[in-house]
Amino acid sequence: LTTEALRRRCDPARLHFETTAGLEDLPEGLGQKRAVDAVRFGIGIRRYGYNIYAMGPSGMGKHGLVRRFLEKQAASEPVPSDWCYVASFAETHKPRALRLPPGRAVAFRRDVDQLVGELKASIPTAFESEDYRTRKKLLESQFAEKSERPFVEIEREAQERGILVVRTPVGVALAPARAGEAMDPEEFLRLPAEEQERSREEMKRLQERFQDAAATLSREARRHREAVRGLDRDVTAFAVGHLVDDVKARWGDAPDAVRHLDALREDVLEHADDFLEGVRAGGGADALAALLSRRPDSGSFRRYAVNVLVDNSACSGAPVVYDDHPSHANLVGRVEHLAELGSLVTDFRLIRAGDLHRANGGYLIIDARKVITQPLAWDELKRALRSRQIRIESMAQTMGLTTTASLDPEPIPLDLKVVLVGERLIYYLLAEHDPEFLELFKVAADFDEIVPRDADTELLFARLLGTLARREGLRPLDPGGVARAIEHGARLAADAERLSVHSESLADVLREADHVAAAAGRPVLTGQDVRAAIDAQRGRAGRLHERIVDEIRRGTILIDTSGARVGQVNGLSVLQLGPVALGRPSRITASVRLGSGRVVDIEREVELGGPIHSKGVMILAGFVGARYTADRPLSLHASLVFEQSYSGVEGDSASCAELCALLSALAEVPIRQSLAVTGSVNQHGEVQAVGGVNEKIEGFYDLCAARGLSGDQGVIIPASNVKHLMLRDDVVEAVEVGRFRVWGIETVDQALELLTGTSAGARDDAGRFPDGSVNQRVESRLEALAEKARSFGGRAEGAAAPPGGAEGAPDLRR
Amino acid sequence: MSSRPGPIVHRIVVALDASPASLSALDAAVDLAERTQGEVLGVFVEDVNLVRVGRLAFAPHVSLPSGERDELDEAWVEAQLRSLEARAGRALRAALERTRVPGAFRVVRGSVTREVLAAAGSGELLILGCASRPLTSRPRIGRTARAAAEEAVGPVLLLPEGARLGGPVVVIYDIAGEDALGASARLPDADLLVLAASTAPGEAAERARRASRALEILGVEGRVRPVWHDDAVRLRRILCSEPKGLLVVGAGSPLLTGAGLVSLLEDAASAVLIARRGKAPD
Repeated sequence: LTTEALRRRCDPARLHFETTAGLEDLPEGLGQKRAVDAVRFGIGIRRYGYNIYAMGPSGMGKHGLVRRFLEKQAASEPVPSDWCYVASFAETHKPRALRLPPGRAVAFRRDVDQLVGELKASIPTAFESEDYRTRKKLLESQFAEKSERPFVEIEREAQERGILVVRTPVGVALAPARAGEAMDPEEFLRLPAEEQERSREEMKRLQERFQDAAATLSREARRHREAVRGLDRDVTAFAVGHLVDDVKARWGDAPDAVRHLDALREDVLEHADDFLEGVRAGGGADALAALLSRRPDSGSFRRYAVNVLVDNSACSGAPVVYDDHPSHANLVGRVEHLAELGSLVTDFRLIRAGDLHRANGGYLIIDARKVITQPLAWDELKRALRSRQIRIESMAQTMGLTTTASLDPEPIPLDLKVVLVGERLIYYLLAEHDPEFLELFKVAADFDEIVPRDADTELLFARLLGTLARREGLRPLDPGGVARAIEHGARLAADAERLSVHSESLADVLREADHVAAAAGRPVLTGQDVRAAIDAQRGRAGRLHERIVDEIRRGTILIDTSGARVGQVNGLSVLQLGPVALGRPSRITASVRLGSGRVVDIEREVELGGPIHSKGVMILAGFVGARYTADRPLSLHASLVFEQSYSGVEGDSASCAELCALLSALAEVPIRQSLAVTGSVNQHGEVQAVGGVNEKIEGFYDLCAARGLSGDQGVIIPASNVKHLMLRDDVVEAVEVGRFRVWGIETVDQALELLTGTSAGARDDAGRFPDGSVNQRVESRLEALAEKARSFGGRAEGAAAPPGGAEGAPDLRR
Repeated sequence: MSSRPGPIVHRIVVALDASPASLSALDAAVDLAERTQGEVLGVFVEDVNLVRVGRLAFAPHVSLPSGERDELDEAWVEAQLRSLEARAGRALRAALERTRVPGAFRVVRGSVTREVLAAAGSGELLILGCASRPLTSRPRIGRTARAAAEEAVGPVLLLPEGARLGGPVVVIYDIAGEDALGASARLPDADLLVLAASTAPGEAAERARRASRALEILGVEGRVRPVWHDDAVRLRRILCSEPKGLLVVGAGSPLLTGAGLVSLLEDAASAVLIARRGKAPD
């Protein structure tokens, strides 16, 4: 391949700008039309379930792009209502939610606080007024008159009848009297019998009258209490009425506020005594007793507080909220508790908003991975979206684990758009396993990390780089820097005709290039800076690669890069370790002997090979059978192995190399060890594209370079992979001076010819391969093996046919 | 040259029956004795009428306010008296220990009114709580308090239930104003407001001038305000609007005539000191 094919360069001369500072921003990202349209659609449609899942690899800039879109849209939308929680005077455990005009919740709290403050002054004043005292005194006088008169009359009558009324600690006693004092028993007994009897009768009659008077007293006391209560209520209503009405007049446009003020007035009328506590109660023990007997939301002014849950006074449009930690409580809010006298207590003032509250009326952005990994958060989010209301419950309540009496705040209506941002895998898993997911997240915005590379997109890519640099506060790039970054973008995409728009990776390079440029004192990022940053990244990640090359060079890992060997070929694999991909040469060997058509994949036998690798081996067995022994049994036992491989092998990218090794072994034609091969092969011998081709070539190049480039060394790759080549500069330079080579092939025959230096050979009209060709030698060897097998009477090792398999057919069990 | 008179009392007699009102009176007595470096004599009277009722096996009894009927017996009455006596004694001892005021507790058996008045003769001031064991919620003046207000030879301090000493002292300077002013001047650290009261505007002003002069002679600071009023009812209303801890009235004041004392205690809702020139203590 020519050097142009090994790395598609970007010519800075085609970039007609001085630096990226002069380029416009690319706010919608590059190549994201599908995703952007989906986001626009999702934002625009205000229907149930049209929430958005923005998917794509992490680091794509999805979050930032979605947020910018939402903020732009939200700015033109109305500011949503404020929300407060207040005490429910009827049901104290069910705090009421108040919807208030946007940005006015704090003012409402201030008004109510002020109102209560004024009530604290006006109610005691009303109760200390002359008018109240007079009316109350009148009631008390009337009561005293009604309740005392019977007792006074009884006492007077008793006095007239010679009976003394004596107060006891618990009531009154009656005794015969003389000279205003009770008689001694002896004195009484000295009275005439008639006198004694008369006294006894009088005392009995007076006792009954006292009983009647007591009953009257009880009745009158009840009436009196009711009358006093009515008076207190009237006085309180007078003191409260105009104050509440004044506040109501200011909140006429907020029905919830007006309703609450009405309820507050009724409660104040019922609990006027609370406002008189300071007047009537003392301190010290009284205060302690009051504290001990007080519930959090009653018996004090705390019940009149306003808990501002959502204050949108700082908003100029609909809110856009990003929940960085979408736990259950952070989403739906929580009810906090306070330690008070050794126990935990709470009331409506300790209700705290969640992000659903804060985003209500706007947009909420959540990381999908975070919300599904937080206990119960995903279920709670779905429940809120489904029911379209926010119900504040603790996790224990949600799970039914607690029966402790707690608050049950009134749910708040929910109207918002949720945007989940996450990876595609999570989207597909949720779609597969959660039946509610697609119902609630109908809009998928799929962000593509790869865009086609052409002149237009290269210019857009430059704008993208400029946008990233500006956003990160970095130096702008000159055309050389952009060109180098474009080539890096193609390398990240592993495709010379594509560009990666993975913004985090690009931003990393720009940040590090900026660091280099800063050290060099350059005002712009040049190609030199970008290359230095990329090389430094590679260098930081290169420990393992260098170690592998070193061990090969030292002969610990046996890889030949010169000479020729039968049944042995250099394959290439890629190790993916986190973000680092490195190419590693591997020795693949094949051995053959008489057998029953079985090609053994040793990796599979020892369970180190994955299914795709096994599939590749089976395909090559099929190829051998079909090409060389279509009309006779395949009397072969072959084994293939990745030498010195101690971990798993997966993928079919070595199947071409394995086939070459097998055919070399059969034909007994040596393979040049200065070459390495990658590519998969199909049953027709066509070589197919594989992944990681750049890393594979570079991996073999590094080994050869370490041993010394001879000019014979090179790598054979599928022709269909040529478009993916974005090789390192040093590799390209080595090719340019003829010290290293890369070939693109379409068939296994081409690989055989390059590897063996011998013609592969094609069948002539008689169906025979040319003498001396690799194919002819293979075919002859297989014929010879078949003959030997026949001479053994079909009892060659492994001759037992597989269940359901045809005699002589390749054993495909592996 | 003026000279402030010495403290009004050296020995304070307080009647105790363990009721809330009498315990308030005890607090007031101890407080006053502490400020005047005086002493307190607590008197608990075992009501002889109650003792006799207990001995009259047939004497009917009605519990209030339940109205339940039963009969008393001597043992129950004696037990009740012992209990009340013990409570009263404990309250007195606790108050004396708290304030380190010297004092004594005396228990006598007899007619309550007679024994209290007799005990009052051994001190310069008698303090009584009002409204002990009321039949109704209305403040009442018991027989003993009424008798003491009318018959005691020296000054009597009446404390309605809940009232406390402290705050301004309001002095009624009417026809009995000299007694009231003289007693007030002996109160330690008193913030005096002298109301020169008369039913004639001109006379009220003249009376105010006399009160000022009297204060000057006594060497006592105080504010003087003429108060013109139609009658005693109107004057009681004026008194209601004045913040006060103690109201001082001369024993010969028209405010105390008839049901005046009861009304005064009801309306003023503060302690009332009925001042009269007393004799030397026994």
